[in-house]
Amino acid sequence: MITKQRIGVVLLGFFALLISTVSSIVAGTEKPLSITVGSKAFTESVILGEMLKHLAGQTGIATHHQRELGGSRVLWNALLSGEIDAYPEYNGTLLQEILVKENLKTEAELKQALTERGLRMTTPLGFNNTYALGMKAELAERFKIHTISDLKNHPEFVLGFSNEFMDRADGWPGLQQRYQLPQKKVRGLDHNLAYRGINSGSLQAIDLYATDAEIAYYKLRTLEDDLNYFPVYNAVILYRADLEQRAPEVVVMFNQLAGSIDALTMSKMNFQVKQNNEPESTVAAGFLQQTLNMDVDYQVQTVWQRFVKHSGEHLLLVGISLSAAIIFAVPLGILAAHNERLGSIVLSVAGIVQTIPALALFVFMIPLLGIGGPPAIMALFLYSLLPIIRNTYAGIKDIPPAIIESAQALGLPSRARLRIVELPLATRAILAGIKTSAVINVGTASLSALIGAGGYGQPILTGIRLDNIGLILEGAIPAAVLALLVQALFELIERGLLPKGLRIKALGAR
Amino acid sequence: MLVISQISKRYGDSPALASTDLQVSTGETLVLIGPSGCGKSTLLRLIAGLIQPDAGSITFEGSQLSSENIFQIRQRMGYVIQEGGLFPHLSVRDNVTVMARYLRRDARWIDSRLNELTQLVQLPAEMLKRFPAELSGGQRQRVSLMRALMLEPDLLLLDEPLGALDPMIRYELQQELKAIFSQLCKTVIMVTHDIAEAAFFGQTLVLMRDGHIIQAGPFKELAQTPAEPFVERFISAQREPMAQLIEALK
Ligand SMILES: Nc1ncnc2c1ncn2[C@@H]1O[C@H](COP(=O)(O)OP(=O)(O)OP(=O)(O)O)[C@@H](O)[C@H]1O
Ligand SMILES: [Mg+2]
Repeated sequence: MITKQRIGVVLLGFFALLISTVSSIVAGTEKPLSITVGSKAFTESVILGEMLKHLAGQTGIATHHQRELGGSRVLWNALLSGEIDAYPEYNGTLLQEILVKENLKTEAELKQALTERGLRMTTPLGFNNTYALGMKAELAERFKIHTISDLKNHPEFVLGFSNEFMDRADGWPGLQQRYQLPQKKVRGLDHNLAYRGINSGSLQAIDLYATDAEIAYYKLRTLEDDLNYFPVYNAVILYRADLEQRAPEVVVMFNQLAGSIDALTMSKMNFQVKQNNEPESTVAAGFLQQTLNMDVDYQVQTVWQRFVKHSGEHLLLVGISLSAAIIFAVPLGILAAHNERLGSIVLSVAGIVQTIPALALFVFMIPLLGIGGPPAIMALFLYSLLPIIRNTYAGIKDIPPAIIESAQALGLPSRARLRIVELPLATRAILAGIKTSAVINVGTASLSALIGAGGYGQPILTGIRLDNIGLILEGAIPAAVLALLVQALFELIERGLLPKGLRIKALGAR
Repeated sequence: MLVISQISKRYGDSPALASTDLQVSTGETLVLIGPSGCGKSTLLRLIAGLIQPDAGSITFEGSQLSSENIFQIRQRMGYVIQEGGLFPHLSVRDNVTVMARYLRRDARWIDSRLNELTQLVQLPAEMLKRFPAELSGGQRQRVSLMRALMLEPDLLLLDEPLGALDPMIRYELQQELKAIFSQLCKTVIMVTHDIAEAAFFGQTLVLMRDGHIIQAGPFKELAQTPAEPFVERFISAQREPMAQLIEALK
């Protein structure tokens, strides 16, 4: 009994320690005079994020860019909680998605809703990134087509739409009705194939996003939505109202972007990044130079610098979360092995945590711990528990009853029995559990990049976004090598820790 | 020295031990025999306090076994469990001395006691640093015995200490063990299947069946005045083959 109470107290202590470490890391990110901007995990958002960073940097205030933070929700919440100060958003996303329950109709209502939440938005940047129909510019010119209505005169055109656009009520079916389009040959196909189709002339019009990089690449014309069928997705900068007090000069800077980026310019910038592999930073700086005549000092990191940075982040994530998991899970496994009822509870709770998809677990942590390292560490910690708990439990349960009985018969009290007999005999199983956890942890830590914790997931994420195998490998190879190293490390530790008598048995068994 | 009264134990629905009385006096060697599953190990476990009786009490040297005094009392009992129960991760030396070291006995005392026991059970001294996996079955039995004897217990509980040994070693060890018992003047409760072994060691034989004590007394008494036909059958079942063998050799 004493043992169990002690273990409980120790566990509580460690938990308190973990929470305090995590919260001090959280607190550490809120430095007095620094600006953090965020961006979503797609190219356009990252370019705009880089612009914000450059702009805020012009004022001399230290500025940080949390790139590629998952989706709109993550950024919205991060902005509300003050973890970021600004990020590029679309008014359509606010109206149709984030604030959809408010049923806002006008621009004024939207501004009001934002003000209530302590937020502001700039006037639109100048482009509307919504669905659009596009044609080869040359073809459109030949037939003098500028608007969607102009398509009515060309029933012979073959149209190619992405499957999503074909099916959605607010996609093709609605569009066809609104404009009374006569075309009969309408194909559903993959977006990339659609671009190739329109380039080769087998399709005359396709659906696209108004700022797709391919518009510039394939020299397309986007047709004007003259009946205002598509919802408006005007790009704006969303920022915290308190920024107007903390750093008014930064707000002034942000507002310079208003009305300065048209769809074609944005499409060209997307193209520069996606097809020409230019860093977002460079493209953003080039734009500011050209449009606002602004000289931006910035650095593009070398592969080596990125490797060092990502390695450091990854090791920190794995190191802290795995150590904490070991500190918690081994005692929990012991407890589970010694107390049947508690054991089944502990094992099933840990089992349930394990069934939560890793990505979901990361996202669950955001409301609790925000973005960045702490929520990632907490998620990895939870994820690493089960293999260790289960192996510790099994390792102790698998000790032959005769051995436990003779330890009891000798008169060893339960705590001494644990130390002298049970733990040494369970060493192999416990270490195997830790090894499993470590390998899972190293792999799962790559997802941390989605919530702004960096690590090897960052280049992987960017690589997937830009369809750049080189970048994907820049993260994937070190992650795989790290997993192998961790495994080798634990095999060495096992060689050192495993009692000699058990190694002999292992040899004999072969 | 040991008084067992009205003690019983069931596992689920099936009784492993019916209400049982038994007394053991100091210096006596008592042997429990009976068919497999009759409750011999159960009785030994109850005495060592490894399992709790459903009813009845056990008194050791005047004090009744309870969860408070059991750790104290166990140090005065040496128990060799049926399977030997050596710790595979500890060397022979560590296996034998583990409890003495836990109790922080003087290192010199431990060494000299270890020496004594090594000689007593005639274990070659170089085996002390081996691990259980590197010993023969008979050597392991000896080490188990050393471990049980280490703290100079007043009562020795031996659950088939010579089970699963080949007849030659078994015979040798029987001789040695008997010498050890008489040398140390120990109170011993021993379990065996083998009626000849029982007769060889025990002043008192306790024959059990299905959790009941059928008859207790010297071998002669059991053989000459069996309390039940079962006693006769149990004894002759083991004597018959031997008698036939001896007959065939004539
Ligand atoms: N932990 C347990 N749970 C359930 N039943 C048990 C348990 N231990 C023993 N038993 C049962 O109690 C009865 C007595 O068992 P015990 O071990 O005392 O027999 P034994 O006389 O020592 O037999 P053997 O000579 O084969 O060692 C048996 O029927 C056995 O199946
Ligand atoms: Mg038995």
